[in-house]
Amino acid sequence: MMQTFKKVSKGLVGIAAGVLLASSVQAVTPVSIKPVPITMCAFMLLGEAGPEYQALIDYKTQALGWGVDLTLKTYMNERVAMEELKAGVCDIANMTSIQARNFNRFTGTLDAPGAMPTYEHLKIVLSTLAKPSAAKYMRVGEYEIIGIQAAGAVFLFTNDRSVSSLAQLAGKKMTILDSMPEMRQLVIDLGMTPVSSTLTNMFQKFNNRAADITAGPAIVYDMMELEKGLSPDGGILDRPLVQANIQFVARWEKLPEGFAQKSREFFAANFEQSLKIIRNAENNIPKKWWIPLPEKNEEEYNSLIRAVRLSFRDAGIYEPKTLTLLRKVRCKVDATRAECTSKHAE
Amino acid sequence: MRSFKTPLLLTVLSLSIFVSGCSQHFLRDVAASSVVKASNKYVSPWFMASSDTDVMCAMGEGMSGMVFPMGPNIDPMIPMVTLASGMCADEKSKEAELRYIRAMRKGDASEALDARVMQQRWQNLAARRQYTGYQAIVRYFGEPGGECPRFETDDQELSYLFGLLNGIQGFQADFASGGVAGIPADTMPKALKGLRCLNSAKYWGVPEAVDALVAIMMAGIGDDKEQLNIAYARLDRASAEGKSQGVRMVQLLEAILYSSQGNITKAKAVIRDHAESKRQVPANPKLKLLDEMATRGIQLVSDKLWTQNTGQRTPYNSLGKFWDDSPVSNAALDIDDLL
Repeated sequence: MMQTFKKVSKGLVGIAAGVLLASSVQAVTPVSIKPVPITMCAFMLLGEAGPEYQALIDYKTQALGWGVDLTLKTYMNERVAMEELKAGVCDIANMTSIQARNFNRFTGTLDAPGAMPTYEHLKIVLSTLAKPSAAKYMRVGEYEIIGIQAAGAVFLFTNDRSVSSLAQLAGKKMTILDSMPEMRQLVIDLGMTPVSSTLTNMFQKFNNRAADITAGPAIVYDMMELEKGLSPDGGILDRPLVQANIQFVARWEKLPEGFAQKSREFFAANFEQSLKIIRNAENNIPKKWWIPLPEKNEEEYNSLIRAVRLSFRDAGIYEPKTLTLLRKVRCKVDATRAECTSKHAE
Repeated sequence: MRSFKTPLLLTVLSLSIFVSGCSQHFLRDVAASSVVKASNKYVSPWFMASSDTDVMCAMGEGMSGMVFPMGPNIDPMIPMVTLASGMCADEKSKEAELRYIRAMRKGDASEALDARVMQQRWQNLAARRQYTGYQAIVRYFGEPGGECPRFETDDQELSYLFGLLNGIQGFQADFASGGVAGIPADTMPKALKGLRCLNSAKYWGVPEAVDALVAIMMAGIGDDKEQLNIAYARLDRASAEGKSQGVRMVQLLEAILYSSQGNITKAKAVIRDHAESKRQVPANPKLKLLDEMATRGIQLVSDKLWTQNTGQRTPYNSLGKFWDDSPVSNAALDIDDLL
């Protein structure tokens, strides 16, 4: 499901990314040396009108204190921002983890479905990755991940409340974004029928019953009026399928010494602020819509979603070490999970 | 007899409280209705025909305390007040943003951070003021999105338009600044549906332009080129409508859109076009204020561009000109061809 979301999310991520919060209440350390000019290809789904811009302005302000004069070049398409980074138009770019996987498979696996069931898990993971001891996993070749921002959990919206496990999704019609071919495969793998969509009509298709299931961050409930599609007997699975996130990728040789680590710590320190809009949106959804996962289906859910992760791992898409890290974090939060004692754990 | 005294006393007391309560509300409601009528007949036409946006700003802030407590009958007047007071707070936010840009240009991170704090505080206040205007029309006309309201007068219709615009501005400002004011996300789709109840041409293309902007945003996210082209064509049409009527609010929306996309070339083109249009087509004399509000907003967009590139805002009387314009007129000839 998470994946579905993820995939669905190119657009959704847009909206989820929109959820990113302006932040930063940290004091800025003045620098006496002349700051290094760096251009950033700044992916902002809503351009300067959205929350990402405000967050990036705060980042730019902090960066000055770390010795970098950051110029933000606006991109509303993350793929273009990524290509421009590769082409040398800029030395930093931000992008969803799906794209960041092209630079760092370790962090690019953070959006593995079902891997982080709560924001508590996500916070532990992002804090862990921001510590100096994790720095060795951040740099690959000429690129380095210099920050990871939470962009919100992606949920499954269904018009049939009786769906309370992944297996029950089989046979349902689910919206997929044409721009994300991997999503189509994922939906087929889960036994569903993909309904080709664009972001413009994806939620309309759910609302007018052309699809049974769609996926998105909580904010789409209000913004896209999904109550229509959910009524009368639908619901939202209360397990996040994917934790969408935005990663900052940099050409490390261009950055001053110490910048990357400070940058990672900055994003980790602003974790709660970046979740504010996301949490507001989740809390604003009436309780009646949330579908709790029945205890009896817990094992089946975990097992199915794990199978999806493993198939992506075996296909060389996900990094095994990250899956292990994520499994260990899950077990740290809840040691009674079956996978914590399994011989074939991730 | 004694046993009846207490209930009787209570009854008399309750009655007197009830009656006095009624009369209080009665007086308030009659006063509110009178204020709205007087405003519609005398105040509003004067304001709308004025070109002094600073007076409107002060009026919005100054009248809030007098208007808001007047009960439900005053609701149709609130959107105009909050449109003005929201504009004041928004301008202060943008002023702080210019200070931020100047500080960053000088490498003064502490000053920049301080300016950011002020920018966010004012933006939050603007969002809350604007949302108050939206709430007033929800109370008075009902929640937008259902059946369209039946307007008894054009003043009511204008109030509805302002209230909806307040809702969209408020949500956008709050969303962009982290949702601290907690304005619900369904404000946007509801307000958009409300706008569809209004004749776009009658309101200078604004309803269609707002709808087109949202379509552009959605099509942009989904990389849906066909929808994008349709939406831009609608925006162009709405802009032409506003220009022809001398109420160029759509141009403000265009300038904000292109600037926020980082499309400086198009943002400059809209600003130039606005300045030229002001020379060619005079403002609608009855609605000069709205046209001036648009110019003022466009000037703020221009000021940001200028400050980012030169450290100073748009020079005096130079809206439509830019720092990198050729200093020599295109009409100039090559002296070697002449001599």
